[in-house]
Amino acid sequence: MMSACITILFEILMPLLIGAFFGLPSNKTACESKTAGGEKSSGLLLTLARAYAFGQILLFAIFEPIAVFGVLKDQEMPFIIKTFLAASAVITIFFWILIISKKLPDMKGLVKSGFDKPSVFGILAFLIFLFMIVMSFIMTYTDGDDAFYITVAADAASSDSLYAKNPYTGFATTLLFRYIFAPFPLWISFLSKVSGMNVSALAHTFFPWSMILLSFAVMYIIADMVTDGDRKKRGAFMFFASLLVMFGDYSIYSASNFLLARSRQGKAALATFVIPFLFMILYSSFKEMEEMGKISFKNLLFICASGFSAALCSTMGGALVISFTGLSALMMAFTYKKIKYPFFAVLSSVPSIAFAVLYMVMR
Amino acid sequence: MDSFATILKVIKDYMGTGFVTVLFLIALAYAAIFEKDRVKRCFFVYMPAMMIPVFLCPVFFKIYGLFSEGVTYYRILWLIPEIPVIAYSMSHLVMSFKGKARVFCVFLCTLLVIFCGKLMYLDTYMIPADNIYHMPKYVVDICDALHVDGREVQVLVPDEMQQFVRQYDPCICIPYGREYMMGLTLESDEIRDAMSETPRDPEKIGRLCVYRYVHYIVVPESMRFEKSLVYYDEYMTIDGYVIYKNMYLDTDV
Repeated sequence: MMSACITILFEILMPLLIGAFFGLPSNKTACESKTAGGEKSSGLLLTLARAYAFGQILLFAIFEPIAVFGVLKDQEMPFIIKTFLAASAVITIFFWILIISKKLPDMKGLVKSGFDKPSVFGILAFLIFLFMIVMSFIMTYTDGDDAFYITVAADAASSDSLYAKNPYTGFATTLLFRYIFAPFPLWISFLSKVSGMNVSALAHTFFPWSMILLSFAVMYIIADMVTDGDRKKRGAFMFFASLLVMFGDYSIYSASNFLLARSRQGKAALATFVIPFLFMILYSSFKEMEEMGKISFKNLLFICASGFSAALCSTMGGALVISFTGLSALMMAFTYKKIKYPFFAVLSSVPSIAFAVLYMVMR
Repeated sequence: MDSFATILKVIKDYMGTGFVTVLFLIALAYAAIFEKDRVKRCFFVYMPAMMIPVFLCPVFFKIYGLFSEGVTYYRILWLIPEIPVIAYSMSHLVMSFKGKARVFCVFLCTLLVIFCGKLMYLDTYMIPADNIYHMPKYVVDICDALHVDGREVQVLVPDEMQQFVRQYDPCICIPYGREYMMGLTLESDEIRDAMSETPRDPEKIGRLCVYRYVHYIVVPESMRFEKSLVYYDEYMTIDGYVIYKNMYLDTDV
């Protein structure tokens, strides 16, 4: 019970704390744009969704280089945990200093304003969302790939060794280059180590709901942006989106299938959280180009963070982020007849390819 | 198979029934006709429309192949914002009506999604969870019975347990892993071969297992060894599985 509470705290509080700077409605802060990311709407739910999603992307982005470095340098799990916690703490403190120095937004007012009164569609979407959360606890999907990914996490949690064992047998093996540059299982191992919960219980029971929550947080931010904060339209968008997710088993490769069936695998996090997040950031960048003729530093930073997060989830993740950003930048350049900021956008996605290149060189 | 044929196969597998893809294309066309906002048009029309030829391009497939295997090429399709496009077009359509017409439109769109998609919870592999570990109960019981604090033990388990055992307890090692079951390796394994023979030779299996330091052998009750296993004694029966323990290899810490 205790470990379950600690897991939930880590899965919810850590992203909220580090992402608060990007969630709180503050037009005064240096890297917030006036309209980007649904700034017009300032409901408490949107604030929480933004803090949670931005925070989680930052955590993934910080974890990726630390974990890859740890594996390549033959370190053990405690090294990764200590380094990651220290780095996250420093960055969290830095953002909170920024929040305080630029004057805290009217927190009382924000809490008082509460949640927007939901539309009928919003209520229906919330019910579908709740249903999926409950089902993630009581139903299970048997997927053979878990025998690899979850066992890597279990090995790391139990013996502190990083990719040193063949997950199928448990015997020592040479470094598995195909997988070490996308060490998502070590994120599960990290959560298990700090909470003391069995890896299997964490991955199958206490991780899926957090992925569903993350995915819906991003979807909610997108809904708010594309409907310009219109409560009814936003509710309708969320209702149809949640319905499409729940009825997404038309193929085993669809993102919805990954979310509800294999959420503990890095591929699922990539398809249902990181790519939609990048979509949201790029949309926000387009809006900024439209209204201010430039892309804010915040959005460039989060294109970069999305790349690192994608690399954590899948070796090909960084390449997907570059492809998506490149395509958007091309469109942006044609639409606004400007090269500078689209070029910056592509540039900020480039670091994430480093892991894929390392894989190509070392395999 | 040439690149284009592989790409078409990937698309076919990704589309599944294909109804949702049709729905997506209709939603794309709807957004192209009715959406006037430049940014929204870029994201809901031009971007997905540009992604499709990029995906179909054999040169792009070749470049992708430098980094990863062709079987994962479907991941490129995740870049097409299928759900946002459909949800946006549907919400746009619904909001363009008022009163009873809107209710009717919502009902129609909902039916369309239900008809085109497939409920995740009706999937054959989606089953009620036995416990917090989402593992079959017999796996948890057997692993708990064989676990030794502070050391690893080696256990020969039947195929149906292969993928679960080390997820639940990584201190349990397995003489041959899931790669054999999935055909991921071309090497043969003597123990696996011996276990697959009919009739099984208990003497051969016993000798091979002791040679490989296997502490326990687990078999379903229906496949209990008729003759006694060399070097192994029947140890206990749990949830319909018989466990044999080696008489000489110790499991002390």
